[in-house]
Amino acid sequence: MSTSNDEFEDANSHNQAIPETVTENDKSDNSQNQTSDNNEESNNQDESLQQESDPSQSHKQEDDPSSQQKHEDDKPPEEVVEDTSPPLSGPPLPDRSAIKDALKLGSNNKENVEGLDLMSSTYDKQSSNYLLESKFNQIDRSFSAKDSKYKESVNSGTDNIKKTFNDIKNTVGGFSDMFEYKIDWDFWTQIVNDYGAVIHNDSNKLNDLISSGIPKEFRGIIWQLVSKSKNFQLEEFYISLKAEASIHEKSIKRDLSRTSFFTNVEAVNKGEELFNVIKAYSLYDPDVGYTQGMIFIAVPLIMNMNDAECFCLLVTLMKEYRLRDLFCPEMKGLHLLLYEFDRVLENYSPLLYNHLVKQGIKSSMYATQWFLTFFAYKFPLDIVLRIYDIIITQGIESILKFAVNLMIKNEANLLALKFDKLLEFLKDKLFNVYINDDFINFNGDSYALKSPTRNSLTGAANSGTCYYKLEELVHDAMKINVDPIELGKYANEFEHIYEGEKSKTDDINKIRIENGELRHKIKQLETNYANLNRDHVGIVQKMVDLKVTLPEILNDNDDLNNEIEQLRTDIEELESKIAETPPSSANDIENNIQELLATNAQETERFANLEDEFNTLVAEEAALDKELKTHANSKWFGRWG
Amino acid sequence: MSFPNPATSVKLVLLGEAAVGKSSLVLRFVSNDFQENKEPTIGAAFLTQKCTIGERTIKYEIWDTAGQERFASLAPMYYRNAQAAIVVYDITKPASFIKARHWVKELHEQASKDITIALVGNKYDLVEDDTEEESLRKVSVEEGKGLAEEEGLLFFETSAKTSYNVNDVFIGIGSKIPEAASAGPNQIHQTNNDGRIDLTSDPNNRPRAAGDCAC
Repeated sequence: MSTSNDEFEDANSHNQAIPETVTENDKSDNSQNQTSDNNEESNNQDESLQQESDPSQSHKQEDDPSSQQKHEDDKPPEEVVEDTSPPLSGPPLPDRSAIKDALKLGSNNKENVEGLDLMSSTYDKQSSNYLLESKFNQIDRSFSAKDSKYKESVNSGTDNIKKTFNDIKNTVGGFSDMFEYKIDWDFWTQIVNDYGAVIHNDSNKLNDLISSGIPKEFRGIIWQLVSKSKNFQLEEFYISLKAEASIHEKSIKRDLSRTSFFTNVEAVNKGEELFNVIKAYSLYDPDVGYTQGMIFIAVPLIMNMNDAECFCLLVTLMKEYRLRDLFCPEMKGLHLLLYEFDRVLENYSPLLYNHLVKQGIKSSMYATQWFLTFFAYKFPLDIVLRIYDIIITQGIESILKFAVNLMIKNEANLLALKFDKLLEFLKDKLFNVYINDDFINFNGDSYALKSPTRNSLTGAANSGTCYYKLEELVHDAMKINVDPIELGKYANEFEHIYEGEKSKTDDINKIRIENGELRHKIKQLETNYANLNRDHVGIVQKMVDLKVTLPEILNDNDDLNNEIEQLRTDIEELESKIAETPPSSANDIENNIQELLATNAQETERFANLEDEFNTLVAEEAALDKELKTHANSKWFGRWG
Repeated sequence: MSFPNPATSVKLVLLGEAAVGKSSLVLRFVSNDFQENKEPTIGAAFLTQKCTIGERTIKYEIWDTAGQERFASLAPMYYRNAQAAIVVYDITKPASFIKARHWVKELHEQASKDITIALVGNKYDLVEDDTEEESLRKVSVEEGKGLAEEEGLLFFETSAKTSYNVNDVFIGIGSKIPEAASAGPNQIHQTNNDGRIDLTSDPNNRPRAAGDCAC
């Protein structure tokens, strides 16, 4: 459920320093919750209509202790009940957690819706006290759910605050005649000593007093007291975190130097402290880390207390006031608040709401900065401080009162404007309706007066007249009814829409991924197709080529066939010729051989004869030669002899 | 043409990492002003400014969004119907260039198909006097141009501080936006008017727009 802080608990890794346990045991119970068949759930919800006559006896259960802590409960808490019997004093105190659960269980259950309607008829919607009381109860229950160490730490913190208050009272109180406004010290002392008792016994007066502004002398003290933020244990933890390094340091420093809300006011000499607080928070809650807008939230705090106290109150606002839901990554709390704003505005002025819708203006376009900075982004500090007074005592939903009131007060102006002028007006002129007449008369044109926008508080102290009609502003805003039961219904609607949107987004993302994959496949197929196409073209080309060469080949083939035919006939002819030739030829050859052999024999014989003849001749020659020699010798001797 | 062209409205959204100078660029364009240490934008800011390009007057309806990552879930509301987007990075911060890349991707995926996107590397004044050896510049002109060419974006390096190139961004975007595509509250009225002009008295108007469109 959007109103739950479960995310915080889960995410809060630094939380070990301030362990929490649900220890309380609800004495009263709640008819709404009895319908819950889930113990853990029912544990988590509690009150609704009941009136607590004795706060110390019946601690309503906090709606957002973490689930693991719920398990630690040894006995399931009995549900709070106060039937529909009229409260003893004051209006009944609906709480959103009960409404939330009733809605959750009964979304299909007419009875529960009727129960809610019944519930909503039991308190006075014209009174804004119920938010005051509801917030007190919520904080009280949450506190009761903590472990003893935590309680001890907060209790001693509270004692410390009380002491500081008494010191201030003793020093400043004596000179109260010198102030331009009177401080009701007695009543404030009562508040400081027992806020719970004042809530129960004198809530109207308390409401009036807070609505006219907590005196700046002890504003920080009241804030801490009401929110039960001061906690020595947490302060010690802050000191240790202060020494650590955060990945957000650079962004924080950069934004500090460029946040005029901070640089323009006297807090400027608290730069170091403010930096430490924001840095420590970014370490304390790493899931949220640092978000632009936190500086705006922290400036009014640091101006009213020291840095350790400021850290504690920031943690408390984030956690107990669900501010964290606004700053966490999906900013679901912001979207819820915007949705609730739309619905409340629509209720108050359907005309204005429809005009904005027709002009295409969504509340997120202008109200985001109001909610994320408690109006500090564009609007003056003294207004912001007054808004803080209300938010801390009434809870974060009370910011809707201011937002819706400003819209209603400017209704006529807004209805006359079109898109861009409308946005311009919404951005920084909304508070102009509350500029003091004195300033308007002096200058004739209220818009010309820009100088005191940030520091009108100081200006007011000097001149005696506030630039803004603060009393009227807060008073008007308090008249806007922000009905917790209606808010519960809106939250339920929002949850449905949000879940719907989320599943739509998830679907879209899923489809996108599928689409991507398919696109990838298509690409692959396209490449494959291109390849195939290329191959195909090649093949076709070859085929064409082949088709072109085919006739030639066929011709060749024919030629070759003819040739073969020719050769075949040739062969046949030859064969037939061979067949025709007489078989005697072999004999002829034989005869020839014989003849040749005969010839050869003859020739051999002749050769032998010739050889003989030759031999004879050789012998004759030799004889002749011998004869010749003898003859010659005799002749020689004759001549010489 | 005896009457001036009616202003055509162009919805423009600025996106980019925190502290790159989105709001400063808008402030320079809208008011010709510069503030050192401009306030961080929470949520988004809306501003308008008219700009004359040739014979055309464009009325920019500018959504200046918050840069911090945390606010990213709000951005789609602003860029969903935008006809133009300026994605800004800081030329001395490489991480902001990576973020710019993401924004361009997201715009291509989620914004309207024919959105005109300009990629703008801001804080040129910081590198103006740099020597080659020592430069604060961490993202080169080539890197910026490369991304712009890859993704089909206009590209500028600007300085909101010195006003260098700032008007050129808006003129560049304006001349790239086809006349027919511009929309706004006066759209129906304009279409009639344009139609008459196109058909008769101003033959030059159409081809120019078409030419711009094609480039």
